[in-house]
Amino acid sequence: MLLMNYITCIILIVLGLYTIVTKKNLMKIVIGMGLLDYGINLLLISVGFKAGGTAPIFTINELDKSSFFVDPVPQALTLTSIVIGACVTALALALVVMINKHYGTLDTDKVRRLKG
Amino acid sequence: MKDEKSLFINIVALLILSFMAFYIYKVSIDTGEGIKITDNITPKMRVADRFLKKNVLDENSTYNFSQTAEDTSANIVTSIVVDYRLFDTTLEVIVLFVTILGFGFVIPKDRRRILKPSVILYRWSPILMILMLMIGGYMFINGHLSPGGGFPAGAIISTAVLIGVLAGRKTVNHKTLKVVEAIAGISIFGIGIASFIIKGVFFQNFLTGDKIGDLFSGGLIPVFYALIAFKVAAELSNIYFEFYEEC
Repeated sequence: MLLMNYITCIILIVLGLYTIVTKKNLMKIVIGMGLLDYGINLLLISVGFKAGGTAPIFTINELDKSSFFVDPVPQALTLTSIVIGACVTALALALVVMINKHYGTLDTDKVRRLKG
Repeated sequence: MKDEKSLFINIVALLILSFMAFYIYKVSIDTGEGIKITDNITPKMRVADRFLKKNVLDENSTYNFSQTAEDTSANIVTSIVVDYRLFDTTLEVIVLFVTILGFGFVIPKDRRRILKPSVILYRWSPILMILMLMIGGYMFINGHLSPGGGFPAGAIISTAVLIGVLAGRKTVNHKTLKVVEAIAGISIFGIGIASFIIKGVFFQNFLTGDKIGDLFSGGLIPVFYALIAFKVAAELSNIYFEFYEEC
């Protein structure tokens, strides 16, 4: 089950990098940044996971003798990562809106020229 | 769309209010199972009593009731985010603030045409907003007991504001959001300076002596999470007003 997580996050990261490097549309580049972000979040969560562990909360369910917690530190770091990812996406979309107003296109080949 | 006080809206609002009153009454007379607000002196009345018989990381030790403030949050992720790594979280909130600032500078300020909302969205938006505000408030109040916390609660509350904006209803003023954000941001650092004066360490938890698992536990953790929730909600609502405002 954990191998599935790693495979999925590698697929997400590779797809995000592929989208950023090869696509010409700026919206698709923003979507690729989002995919890369989600892949890294999934990788962080999967590193801290142990098979059979419960959520690190004392009051969520009955804890018996054999239960143990997963690592809570990567989850806290992932919370930070999610907020920063949302910030990056919002600012990138604002820049895309501004570029589209200025040049009238979203193609990265056509926004090279200076335009006063 | 002038008939806001129609019969249907009033009946639905009365139903929701009566359900909330019944729930609060049921919680307040419940013994043992639910979250007990008033009586946390008797050990049988405490929620946390049955959860803290042992330390789950070590089989031989027993987890006693802690009296120090640093480990009194039932949710360990919340303990890390709002207590041990509070510097990280506050600077992250500042990163969010700087992003919204840059967003307001970058987004073009030309006139936009707002589509007229449909009747279904216009009628159903108050009910959805009430439910979303209830869930958001529940999340940041119970952030130290259950999954959730300040950031998801802020996102949910700002989504309620977004639905109000999309439906063309008056929700909050633009200036009110900035005042709320400023008060929340100043309060976080004010509490940090107060803990520096009281305890000698910046951002140290100085409210002690509560039992883990109660509603009022964790010292400063619920206070910080409520402030973070209001700040995040105000900042994210600013984005929607930047997009949809007619200027």
